[in-house]
Amino acid sequence: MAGRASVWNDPVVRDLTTAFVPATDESWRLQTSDDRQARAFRMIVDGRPDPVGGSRQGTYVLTPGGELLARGNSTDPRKIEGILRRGLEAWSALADEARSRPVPMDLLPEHRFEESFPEDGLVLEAIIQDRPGVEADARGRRWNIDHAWFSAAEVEAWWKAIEPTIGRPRPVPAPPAMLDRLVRYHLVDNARGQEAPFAPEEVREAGLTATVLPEEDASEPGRLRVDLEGRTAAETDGRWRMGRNLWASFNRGERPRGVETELLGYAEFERETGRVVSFRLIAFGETWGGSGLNGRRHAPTDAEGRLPRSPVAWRFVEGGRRGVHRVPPAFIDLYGPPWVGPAPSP
Amino acid sequence: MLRRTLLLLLPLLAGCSLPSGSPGSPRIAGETVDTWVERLTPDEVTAAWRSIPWRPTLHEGAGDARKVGKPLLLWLMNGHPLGCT
Repeated sequence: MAGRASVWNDPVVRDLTTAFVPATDESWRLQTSDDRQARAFRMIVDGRPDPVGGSRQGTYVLTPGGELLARGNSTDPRKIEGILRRGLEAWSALADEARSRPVPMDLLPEHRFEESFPEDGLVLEAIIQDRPGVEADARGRRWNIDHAWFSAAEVEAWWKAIEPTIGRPRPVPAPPAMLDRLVRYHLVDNARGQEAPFAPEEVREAGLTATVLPEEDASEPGRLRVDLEGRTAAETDGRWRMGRNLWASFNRGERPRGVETELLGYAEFERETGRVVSFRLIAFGETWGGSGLNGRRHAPTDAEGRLPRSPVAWRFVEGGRRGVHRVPPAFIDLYGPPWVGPAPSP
Repeated sequence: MLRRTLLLLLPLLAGCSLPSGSPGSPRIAGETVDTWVERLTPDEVTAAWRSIPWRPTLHEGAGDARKVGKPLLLWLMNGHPLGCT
């Protein structure tokens, strides 16, 4: 996570990227999955198609045809600069034929969750960070991104629940499927690194209501604005309750953790279609504990054995629909409904 | 309860200049949700790495690299680098 800023915000490195086509991807899937693309990736970087342990995180320079020219992993921008320069030198030394080889068919994936992107649904960009005003720890202020996806049918169900209250406003509970997804998969303490989601039985409280506002409060004619308000709480003793999947290893050691939030925001629907055209939701929360990489698992407990609480905030806004905005939610493989498609074998 | 709790956050905002929001916006500690959205959105300097024209997958990057005749720069992390990592 640190390399995002330390390496790719560096002006020299950023300038160098213009000599390449820059691309990103998720390394755990590529090093462990049985997908054709993952096997091809391992042939390129490891010389064999079998799943590999350790980490394949890092920066690689490749020809489009899949020849490895340079690789390395560092949060030091000068080291990455060196890798990029070595890659460019190797590229320059190649014959035209080697540069222009076609992309191997094997590099095309058999399945990607990007294919489940909810074109007519609701796509939110979530940013989580230590709440402003909180002193950064030794690793500096961290923030993280995720996307939350809701299908067109899920949004329609929400609209159908809200629509009858136009002119007779009262708080309308969010559909359980939407709320469940928000609480278990998106109000997770990922501010300083990945953390595991919550099982259904670990949700202590989940409430989010929408209250219709007067017509004149909408940003433009033809829209309907609703206020959003709610509270959530989820807590686990650290035992894994979500079966065999890619995330099971996060709870190794059974470390307790939890999240409590208060929610406030608004959304605007297009009245004719029921589509959400604007969405803003703030979650102010406190988190405690951690199982894996969220930087809080080593926090000392107090005299009563309680973990310290960290003030965290999330902001959810409607996201873009092209390119990098189509990166799937972290826990997409756990979402569950049929529109998401099949999850790969762990 | 919500508003009382959120009012406790007011000291955290001391000294900050916040733009006003549109009428009717829900408010937290006297400020709009829009203002908080802005506050919680990393600025362009902090998030400069997001403005690099990353292709979001290995195969899209390889395909575009072949089209334009450039080498492919591939950045991998556990958890997508442009998502939750």
